[in-house]
Amino acid sequence: MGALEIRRRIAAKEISCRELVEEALQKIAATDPGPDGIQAFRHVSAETALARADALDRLPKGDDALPLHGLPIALKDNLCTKGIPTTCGSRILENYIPPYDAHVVECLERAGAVVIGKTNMDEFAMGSSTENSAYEKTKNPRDPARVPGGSSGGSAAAVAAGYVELALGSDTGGSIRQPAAFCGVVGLKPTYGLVSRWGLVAFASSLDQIGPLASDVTGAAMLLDAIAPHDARDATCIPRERPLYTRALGEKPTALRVGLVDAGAREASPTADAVDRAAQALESRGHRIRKIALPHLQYGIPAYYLIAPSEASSNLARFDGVRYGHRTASPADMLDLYMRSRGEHPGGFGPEVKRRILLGTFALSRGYYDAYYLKAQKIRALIRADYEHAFQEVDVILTPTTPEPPFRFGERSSNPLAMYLSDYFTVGANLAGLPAISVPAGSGPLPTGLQITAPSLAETRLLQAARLIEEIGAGAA
Amino acid sequence: MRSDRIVRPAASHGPWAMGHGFSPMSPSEFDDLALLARLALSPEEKEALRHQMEGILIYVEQLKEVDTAAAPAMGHAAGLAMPLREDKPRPGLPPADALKGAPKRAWDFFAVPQVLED
Repeated sequence: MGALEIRRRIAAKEISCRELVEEALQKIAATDPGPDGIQAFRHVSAETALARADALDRLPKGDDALPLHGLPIALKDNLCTKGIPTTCGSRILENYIPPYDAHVVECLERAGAVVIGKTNMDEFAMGSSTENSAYEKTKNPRDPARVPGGSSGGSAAAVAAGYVELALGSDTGGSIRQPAAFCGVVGLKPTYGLVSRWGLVAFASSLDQIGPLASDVTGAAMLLDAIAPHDARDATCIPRERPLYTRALGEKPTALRVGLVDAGAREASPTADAVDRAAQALESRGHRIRKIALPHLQYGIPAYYLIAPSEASSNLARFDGVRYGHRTASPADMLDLYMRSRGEHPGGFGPEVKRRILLGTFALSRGYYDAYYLKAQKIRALIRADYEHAFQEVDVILTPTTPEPPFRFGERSSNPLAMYLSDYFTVGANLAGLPAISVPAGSGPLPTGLQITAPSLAETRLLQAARLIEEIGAGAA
Repeated sequence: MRSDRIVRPAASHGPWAMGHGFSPMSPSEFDDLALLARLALSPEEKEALRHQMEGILIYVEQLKEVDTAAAPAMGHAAGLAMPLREDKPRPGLPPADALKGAPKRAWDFFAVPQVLED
């Protein structure tokens, strides 16, 4: 139905906030829990959601001050929620209840949304299938034999299963866009610095960005409007004039210059057909298609898998068994406390998190820093320069979101490198700090996504282009 | 903490000594790395992780193909100087809230094993 239509029904008093929340809770209870369920949710806050819905029902309907009035929303479990467990998909935070709300959660409260629960994710957002969660095995609602993508797999599945129209995820190397593509929903990673990271459990701080997942582009714009207010508590949050994204969607771009990547990158992708079909459809509607080159994008994955683990090894040092999280029993001394609290099974970090902490520790250590971390940072600058050069010629860049449609459980989990390649098309936007969105592409048996990338802070243009693709049904055969 | 247990992987003559090609990491070098990362690992985990890390490090070797002599190091995408906030006290998390998640506490403090000798 879409978030905008639900908002209209609430405003017209055709449905109450309580009815809406009850309906969502019933759907979740019917098909989410248990090994055969979708298992999108880690935690459902039924009581607080119903109480909140009742409070919202007492307020005047249709007030512009409450743009998300009564809309149920799911949150990735790495966003701090006061009084609601926040596990990050990790045993190390199994019993953690944050004493404060993330900035985006405060924003949702102000906008009138109803937090319905926390969604499953790869442990500390490290993964591309949600198989790295220490808890549930989230299924892809479009094909339960396949993974929902990751790391925001629970949020994407919650939208795809129809539990909610809106959800929040976080994206460090593709963790919003890749699961959106796999589940056939819309997912947007904003410009680095557009949305405050206050209260987001940090993975790789120079890459992490919170963003919306939604059943349509308009829903993504509504949610982005709600979470984008400036927040000084995140020093990287960019002070700026804020356009109203939802309103901007009313304007249709004309003669958009769309760039297609002319490199080995596209040949490597079985999802490239969807891009070709979309490009033809755009061209037939008067938009201009141009070939562009991003010659360093092929080095995105190796650069990313040095930079992100390096930042993670530093960020995850806070899990030390002292201030919060798992603590080993009867430690002999401080070193023993640190090592066993973090490393032991059960209770400590899982295999992928250990792998990345080790890799990052190695890349940052004396003698290897220049050859690995510094080298990757220089390649990051070259990738950003490639995009800047391309955006002199085109308004947006169109690529597949993923090299392949969703894969089956276990297909990639034994080989970390094979899993990493799932991020081939998505890491570039994180390394360069650019906004990018995945829109469902086509009508094949399995969902795939088209990714649009725009220049820094050009979210308005990005959303307009995404709406265009959505409207013309480009990519459909 | 016993500082003599904090060992760094050898930089000048180890398997990744700069300017040389990649060669496998020895089990003892991997032990040093796990200690540096503060991760207690079982023997089976060590073996698996060591081999997986080798695979990843061989994969990232391709970065050496790229000429980066003229490229600046990009640490951040925000492109803004870190702003300083006013040097004024402001409310923080109350101690009782900050301690709520502590696995072990003593009075208003986080409790840790004894650090100093008697």
